[in-house]
Amino acid sequence: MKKLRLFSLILPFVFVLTACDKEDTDFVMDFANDWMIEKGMMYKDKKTGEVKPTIKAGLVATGWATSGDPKVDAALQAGYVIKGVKESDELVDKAQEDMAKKPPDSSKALEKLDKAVSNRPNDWYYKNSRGTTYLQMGNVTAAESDFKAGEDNCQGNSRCLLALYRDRTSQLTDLKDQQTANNQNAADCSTYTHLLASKRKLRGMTTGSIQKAHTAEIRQLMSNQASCKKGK
Amino acid sequence: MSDVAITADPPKKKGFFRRLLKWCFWLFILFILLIAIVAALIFRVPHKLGLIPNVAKKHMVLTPDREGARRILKAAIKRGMPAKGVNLYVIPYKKGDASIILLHLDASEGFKFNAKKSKRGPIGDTFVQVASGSEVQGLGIERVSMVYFSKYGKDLMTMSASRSDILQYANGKLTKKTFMEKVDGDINLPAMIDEQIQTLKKYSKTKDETLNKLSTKERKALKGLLK
Repeated sequence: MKKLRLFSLILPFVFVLTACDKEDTDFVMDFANDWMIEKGMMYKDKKTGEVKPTIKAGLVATGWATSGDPKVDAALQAGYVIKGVKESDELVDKAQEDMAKKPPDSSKALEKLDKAVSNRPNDWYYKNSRGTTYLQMGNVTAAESDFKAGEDNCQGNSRCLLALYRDRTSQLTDLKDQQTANNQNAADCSTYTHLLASKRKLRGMTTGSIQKAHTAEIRQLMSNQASCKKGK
Repeated sequence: MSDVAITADPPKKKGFFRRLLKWCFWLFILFILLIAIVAALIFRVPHKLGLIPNVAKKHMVLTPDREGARRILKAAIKRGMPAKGVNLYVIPYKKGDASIILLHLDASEGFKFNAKKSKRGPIGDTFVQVASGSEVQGLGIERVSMVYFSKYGKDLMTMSASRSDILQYANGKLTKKTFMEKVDGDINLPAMIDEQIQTLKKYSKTKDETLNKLSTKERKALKGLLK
């Protein structure tokens, strides 16, 4: 009976200890420990068996260690890049929310998009987003300037341009659908024009069945653009 | 003449103590300064102030390949990588000739390693799950970097390995030891210490809560048992 009582007392502690037993942080700590030993940042004292740090560990801990390869050093500062991209993406999402308000809060949206562009000036994605917002606001000149600046970021790299036109086509299609839904008639002429241009460039870079599908879509867009212009 | 001799002696003693005090004061200041410098270095103040140029800022400025990232993440999840709290980015290097996968594992957003027992361990497994598939081919992936954020939102560790090393490790051509030697990493020491403190605090809180649930008699019996 006494043994049973003791068992019932110890049991809650066993649960508490097993709950803390192997957490994710432990995996990370274990890995870091093994890695530091393999890399000579820590060593096992033969007499005491304790693991002790070396000067190399100090260099790593203070961020002064370098691999000698700038690409590897850059890879180790990945946290900084992730933070920048995440922050800018969130700004774009919030700007889209501002533009979805009725009436749209374009000044607040632009403020956020400007910040996203300045955070990552060589990233065309944010210029596509700001360009589309300008188009939504009716500022065609500013939109075209952003679209051009985005293309310049690619420096002629075809893979980069292909991704850029895909993204722009997707953003402008969303805008066209939104404008069509709001007007219950048709989107703005400038949206059709830029969507058409983006699709044409995309078609020029792709082949096969995608090309055929785009041709039908492009024909439809051309007819929309023509009727839109007639209406004006 | 005698006036000079009387006035010259006493200040000598005072000067010695003053000088000693002065030395002690400056030694103390120097000691405080040294501690401040070491703390600033450990907390990476020069990096935060921008006094040391950020290499990533120079090399990873181009637009992430969002479509490629989506494909890789989907395939990695199929291979067993947990889906919650994971963000994956494919970022081209500045010249656009190659790319890097940045894997963001965030425990504060619900990420948990797949604790299933394996030879490679959960971190080695994650490297292999991300980099070994066919969907990575054609994207020019050279490296994989993994940043782990704790449940308290701190980045504890960044580990990076070349794709070729990961593939060799996946195929059994590299042992765990050799792979570890080839992995590059960065450890956030202040964040790790803070993490340990938080965990201890949490453990102590849970312990107190469990103790409070017990009756006085049970507590006494437990104390006796622990003695």
